[in-house]
Amino acid sequence: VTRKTFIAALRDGLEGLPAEAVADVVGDYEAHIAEAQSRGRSEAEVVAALGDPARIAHELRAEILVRRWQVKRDPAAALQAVVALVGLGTANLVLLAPLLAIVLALLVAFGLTALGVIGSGALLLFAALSGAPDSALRELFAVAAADVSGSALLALALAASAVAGLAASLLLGVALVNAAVWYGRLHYRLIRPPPRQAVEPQVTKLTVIGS
Amino acid sequence: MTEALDVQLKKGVLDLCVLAVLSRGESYAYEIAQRLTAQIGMGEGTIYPLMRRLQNDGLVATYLVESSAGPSRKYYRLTKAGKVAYRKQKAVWTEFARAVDEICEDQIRDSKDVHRRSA
Repeated sequence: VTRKTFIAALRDGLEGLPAEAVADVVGDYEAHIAEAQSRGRSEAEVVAALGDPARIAHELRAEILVRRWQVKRDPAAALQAVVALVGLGTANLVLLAPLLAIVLALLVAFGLTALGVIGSGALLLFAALSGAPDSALRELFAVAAADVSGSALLALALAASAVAGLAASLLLGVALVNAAVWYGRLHYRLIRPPPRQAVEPQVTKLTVIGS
Repeated sequence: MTEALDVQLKKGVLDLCVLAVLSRGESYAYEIAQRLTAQIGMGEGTIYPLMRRLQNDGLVATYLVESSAGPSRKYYRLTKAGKVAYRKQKAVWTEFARAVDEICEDQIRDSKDVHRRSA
């Protein structure tokens, strides 16, 4: 493996990420190889000691997408970060995935219900304010709200509780994604030691320098 | 089995090792990687995902230093949060290592006792 093939494989693995982030990563590895060569190591030896570029790219991709999620908290960023972490191929996350899916589905259902309640609350408010006497909606709430101001109040209360519910499910969703990120990161395979023959000569070199 | 334990242990203490190296002075990734590969046998390429993670978590910060020969070098230093994290993780590790040592030594003593008794 040469520097060129290593960098090419790294770029392949980072495809689709912002060009700025990719350039940053490639710069790090180029500098590393240059530094090693300036200290008398051969290109082939450093590149072998660096490890598998596809694997490294996987972990960097996950980390870059986690960063994006940390900066901009939107559903797309959340999804990308979680998918990248799952993509690290950790068996335990596969077990976790169905559970995560169920909780997410519940959250979405909860959020939609909240939206629906806000909608019907607004409709009720509109009906109450416009004073339409035979409104079916008003009849629905007629027991609780005997007059126009009563039903308006009820509508407001409904809308307020729905907004609270929506906010709660959003917070829960954010916490859930953060938990998934934390869990996924526990399963990084950062350390996979390089093949013995790649490490050994370097270690002996270091001891020679040390002694 | 020992290899699996080896990998698991290293994975757990890698963060701590980087924080420890940086607690003794600011450094750049190549230098940190050399320390860790020589002393705990980490793959060299691992250093960059690791440094990025520590940076994401706000434990380290980077700055560029112009060098007379070649391009400028990216240095890493511990942030305030990094120093706190280092202190905490080090305390956890010290406690844990001592506990494991104690258990292993008890084990050795016990087996010697058994041998003596059976003899």
